[in-house]
Amino acid sequence: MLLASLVLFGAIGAKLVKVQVVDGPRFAQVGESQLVHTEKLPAARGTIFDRNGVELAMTIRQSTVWANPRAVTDPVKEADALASVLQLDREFLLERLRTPAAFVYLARKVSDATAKQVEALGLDGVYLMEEPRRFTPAGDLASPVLGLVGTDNEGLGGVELKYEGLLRGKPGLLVVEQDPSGYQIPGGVRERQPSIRGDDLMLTIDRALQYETERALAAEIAKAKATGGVAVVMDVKTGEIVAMANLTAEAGENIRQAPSNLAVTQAYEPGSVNKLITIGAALEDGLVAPDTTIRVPTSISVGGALFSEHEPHPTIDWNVTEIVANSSNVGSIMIGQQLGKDRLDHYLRSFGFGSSTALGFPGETPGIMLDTDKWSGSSIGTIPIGQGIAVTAVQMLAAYNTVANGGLYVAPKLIKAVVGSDGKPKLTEPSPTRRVVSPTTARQLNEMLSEVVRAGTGTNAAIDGYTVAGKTGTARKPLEGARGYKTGAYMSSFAGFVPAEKPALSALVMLDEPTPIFGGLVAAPVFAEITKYGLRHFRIPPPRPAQKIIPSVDPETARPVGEVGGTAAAATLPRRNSPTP
Amino acid sequence: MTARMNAAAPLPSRPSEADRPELRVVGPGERSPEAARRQARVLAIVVVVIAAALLFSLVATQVAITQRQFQLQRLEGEADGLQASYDRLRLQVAELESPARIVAAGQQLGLEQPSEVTYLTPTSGLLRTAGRSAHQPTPTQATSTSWQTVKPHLADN
Repeated sequence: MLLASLVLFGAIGAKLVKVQVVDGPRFAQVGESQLVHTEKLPAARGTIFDRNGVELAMTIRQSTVWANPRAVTDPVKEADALASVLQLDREFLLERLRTPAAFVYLARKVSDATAKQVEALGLDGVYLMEEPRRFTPAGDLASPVLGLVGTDNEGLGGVELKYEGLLRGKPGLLVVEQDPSGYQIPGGVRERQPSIRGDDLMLTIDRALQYETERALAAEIAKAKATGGVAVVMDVKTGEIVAMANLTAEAGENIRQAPSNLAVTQAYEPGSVNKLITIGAALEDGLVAPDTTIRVPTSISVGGALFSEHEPHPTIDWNVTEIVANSSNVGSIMIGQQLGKDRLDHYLRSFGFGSSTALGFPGETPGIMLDTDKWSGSSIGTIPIGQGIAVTAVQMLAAYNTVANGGLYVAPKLIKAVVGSDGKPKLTEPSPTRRVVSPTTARQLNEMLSEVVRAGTGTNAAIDGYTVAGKTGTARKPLEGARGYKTGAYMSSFAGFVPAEKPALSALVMLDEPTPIFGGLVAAPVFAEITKYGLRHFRIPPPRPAQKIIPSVDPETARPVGEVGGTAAAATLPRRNSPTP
Repeated sequence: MTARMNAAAPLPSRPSEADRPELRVVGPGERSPEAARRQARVLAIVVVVIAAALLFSLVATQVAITQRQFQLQRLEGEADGLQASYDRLRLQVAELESPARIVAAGQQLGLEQPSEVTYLTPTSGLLRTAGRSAHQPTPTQATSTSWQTVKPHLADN
């Protein structure tokens, strides 16, 4: 009896030693692997705001439906139940629920309502987990500029891609001991490394002006049955882009956001808007003055090519201002010939053509500019009038902005501030500037461009109460993949700034293959509409009218004070029932 | 007297050497076995009580930790949920502020964009003239509020 007890207790003791001592560490490891879970804590992606702090793109958590097929008890029944809720094919769901795996996605980032319905079904092996999803509260507004993110919240284009490093943030880590039900074991292993939220970006874009710009551009695309269009608005002094619209269509139908930010990714032959550089260069180098008269024929032959005016006329004496106001091709070519290819090329590049802007936007093109040693004989005929050279809308707008800014080029800018995880906005550096032409040349160009709108080809860009300065452009569109130009296809544009006396906003509008073709007819009105809204939106008042106060009446003479010899001493304020002067 | 003494109770006989208990001189501070046993009992009781108290406090601490752990989990879950709610509300506000929605709502109410805007720009000169009456007022007239005084530029209308 005693011996049996001793043997029994000896066996128990031996087993205890084996479990606790010999195999102890192994069992502890197995237990740890079952209990200790490491979970990645995703970082919240930064928000993209407009210049006023309104959300343009933001991330919130949405539910993702997943399944553990090993825990699914009735795949057929569950697939039937889920198909109508998730709006997915039943066979697809059935295949997923029968997959020999412990984890399969069924539907990612579903709406809150759908998640609630799935939860209410209470299906075995079907669970919900949270994943971040990107939303654009204003719909597809400015989508070519904002870009998009992929399923895993990584930037795939536009601002989302360009600033991925800032927006992404840094994921954290959570190590916890959990029981089989998923509850944390109190007092168990728990290490938490919090995630770091991505930085927020504040763009220079103004959401209201962006909407109005897209609306006005879309309306004209529809009216002119165009295949698309671009409109960009810029703050003259700072170079901040306050609106950038990119639309595409099929002959005015199915107007929608362009697949990319055409304003910087598409280079086009600008046409007559390029005459700004030709004339500006000649003024700057003292070759001509605004009142220099030139005898302008209706056509001119250059390097074997014949260049004609868009409106034939007999040989006429025009001064440079009239050449600009009438958008004379021949006059501009003659001035370009005086300039010569080297100086013309120099000024084109000084105005920013041939190199990418400071935006550094994904897919941005520097445009196309031939080295002067590759110019053909007719290049000195084409390039001064904006053919044979390709630029982006933003490059051309920046050139006009230079004139508006008194001859100072200011680099275009899209990011106003970066907001760190501490919530404090940090303004970006002011745009770099460089002198391109003198203030005198800029002023002369300003006056000429004002004349274009007052009495030239750009009268449709006029805005009541303001003086608008700008230039129209109607450029032939090259064939794709072949030499020559597409018959009847034009890129029609208007570029300018307002108020001319003290420029605040500059803008460029370009329509692709519109009908009618002339920039003065299709692009200039859109320019007026957009900038009119912008002037009101940014509270830029019209310049004060050149009027003086009605003089008081001298009680002794019963005449207005200051009146000499019976004549009125000064212009008067509009009287009641009198026409406005 | 001696006879009385002799008649007293006889003296107890001296125990034999074998019967005499072993005696020794008691040292200073030495306690009796009884006292030592008593002390040991007291010490044992104190140790048990302290041990019990320690164990009890250990258990109580573990219970408190567990409770706080559950509370922490619950609060973290609540904070998470509130943050998610806040984000959803922010999104909702941004969607409600969307220009497209506001324009559509305005158009439904019959509103439209103004085609023309009139600017009123009072000039400083006008203010000077308006402050100066058409004729030099006498002190009694200085406080006159007649329109000829207040708006002299309308005097000829």
